[in-house]
Amino acid sequence: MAGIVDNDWIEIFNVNGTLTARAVVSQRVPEGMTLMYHAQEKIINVPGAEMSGKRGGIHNSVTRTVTKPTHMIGGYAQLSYGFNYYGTVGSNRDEFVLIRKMKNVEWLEGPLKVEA
Amino acid sequence: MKIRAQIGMVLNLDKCIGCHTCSVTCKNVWTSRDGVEYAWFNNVETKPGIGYPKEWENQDKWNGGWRRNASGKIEPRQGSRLKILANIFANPNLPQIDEYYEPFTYDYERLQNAPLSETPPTARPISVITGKIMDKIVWGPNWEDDLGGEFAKRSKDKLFDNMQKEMYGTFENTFMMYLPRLCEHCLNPTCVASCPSGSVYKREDDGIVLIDQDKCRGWRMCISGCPYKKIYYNWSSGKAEKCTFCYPRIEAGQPTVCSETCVGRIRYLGVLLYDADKIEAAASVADVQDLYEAQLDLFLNPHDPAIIEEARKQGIPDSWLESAKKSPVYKMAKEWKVAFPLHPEYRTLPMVWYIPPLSPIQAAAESGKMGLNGIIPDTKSLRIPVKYLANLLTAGKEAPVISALDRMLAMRAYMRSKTVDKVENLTVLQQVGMSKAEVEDMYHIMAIANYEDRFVIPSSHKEMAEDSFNEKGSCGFTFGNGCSDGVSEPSLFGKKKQGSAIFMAMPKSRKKREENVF
Repeated sequence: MAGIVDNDWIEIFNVNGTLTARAVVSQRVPEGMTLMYHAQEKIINVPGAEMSGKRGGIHNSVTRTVTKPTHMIGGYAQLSYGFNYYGTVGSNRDEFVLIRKMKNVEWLEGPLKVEA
Repeated sequence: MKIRAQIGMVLNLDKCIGCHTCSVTCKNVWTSRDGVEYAWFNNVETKPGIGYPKEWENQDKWNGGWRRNASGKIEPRQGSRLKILANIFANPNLPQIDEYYEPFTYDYERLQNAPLSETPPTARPISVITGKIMDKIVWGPNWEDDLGGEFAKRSKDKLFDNMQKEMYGTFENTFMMYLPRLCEHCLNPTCVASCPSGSVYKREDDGIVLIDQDKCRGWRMCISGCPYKKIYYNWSSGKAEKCTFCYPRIEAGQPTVCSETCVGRIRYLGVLLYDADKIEAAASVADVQDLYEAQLDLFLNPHDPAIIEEARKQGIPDSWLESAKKSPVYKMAKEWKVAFPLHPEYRTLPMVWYIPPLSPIQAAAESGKMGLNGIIPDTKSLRIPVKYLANLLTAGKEAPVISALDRMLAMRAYMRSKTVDKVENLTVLQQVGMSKAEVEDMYHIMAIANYEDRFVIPSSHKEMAEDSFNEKGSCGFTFGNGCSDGVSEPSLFGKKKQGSAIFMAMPKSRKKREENVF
């Protein structure tokens, strides 16, 4: 897939946003498809994204769950809905994404620059 | 006949889910110390893969295990005693740290200490060897987990020998299995034979292979001798370390930590009686494919009154003889013949055995019906190739593996007929040559797997085996009287012990705060 080899730093993006990761190339996932469990946990070993120049929040996933009327019932944990985080319809989480190898791995560790 | 007893282990790979709980609990108990950060006495590999350390199964590369020479005698593959002595200052067969992996932790404190910045902080990996930040982690003890990595790299797996492996790299023909590994506590251990200092020994009373930390001089010939690469060098103490089979627990009649914590209940522990006089002959049989049967022949029948009488005469405690009769390991290895030794071709006569995994039936998915061999599904249409399993467990001989898989399939078919159809299908049992009583016992032990059926461990009788006075003040792994941890204290005058240089370089601000209170 697009010259990406195992353990490459990659950036994944679509209209929802962007995230960075290291690629695991495996025969278990067919060509043209990518899979991510839950979302990237950005607090461990994740560089900043080249597109946004930021690392982003904690648990942002590139996909989002789509609400449906039952989500609005409330009062029951299994029917509640958290935007981009928690929903009852896992199968709706497939998304189109673009993946590219990262050119520069930037860790964004500098302090906040306050403009005078 | 010289009768000895050993606590053997069987791992039922059919039930392993690859959760690494055995590895983690073992790590926490035994190797969370300086000098062995990279060492995993127990690890779980995903096969096909090259494993940990890299390509450990390739003895053309590592020269572990034994070789049978022209005169029919066996000698360590790394060389005879003389050659081992000649190599002690430059061992050509020793894995380097990169063959294991560079152990790492993360700079978690950064998450709390980072200055105000544009974007939230992240904890970067820190090498436990250098104490420095690592740009990128490039290998780990389970790097190939769930088939991670390109097939071209993973297929260097030695188990693909004599197979057309290319087709197994395609999505449609993917197969995988887990292989949890630990020291095999062999009957014919190459590590013991390779040690120039005589520090590696096999205990006579329970068969556990240990390294005397007082005697070990760190020559590391055991590491290259062991074909399973299950001895590790502690760079801090300068001594070799290995899986102890959790002997303090075994002595008290408790299962090892890896067995106790196994969530899939795949591990079994039980007594095996064997004839120690026949070990050399069994390990020296001409054809490597006969080694599995040769080792089976060493095991003695614990129900035979003559054997019981002789064993008692030779000082084996009655509690051990009673346990031997109930041993799940004996049943699975010898009576049902569903468990096999790991790589018998190394001629080490390993004592941790494996039940091969069943796998989905490929032909069934393709044609809409299962390939049937009479009533039970055809073993040859399993997704994991039988040849691959045979290369792991029987030096490539397929018949015993097929028979074991057939028996497991028959057990399922019989129990299904009994519980679902309410008809006892005895034809299926005839096909695999098992009786109703046998298969129901097999079901009870392998499928229900109650705690007391999995672990039949008699407590040890140390008063009959050794003089514990000699153990007084001896070295443990990194502690004990006169035991060096390889680190010199910087000052003679009461400076607080700080731990190793590596951990000092790592952020420990919380600990330092406490110390600086006064």
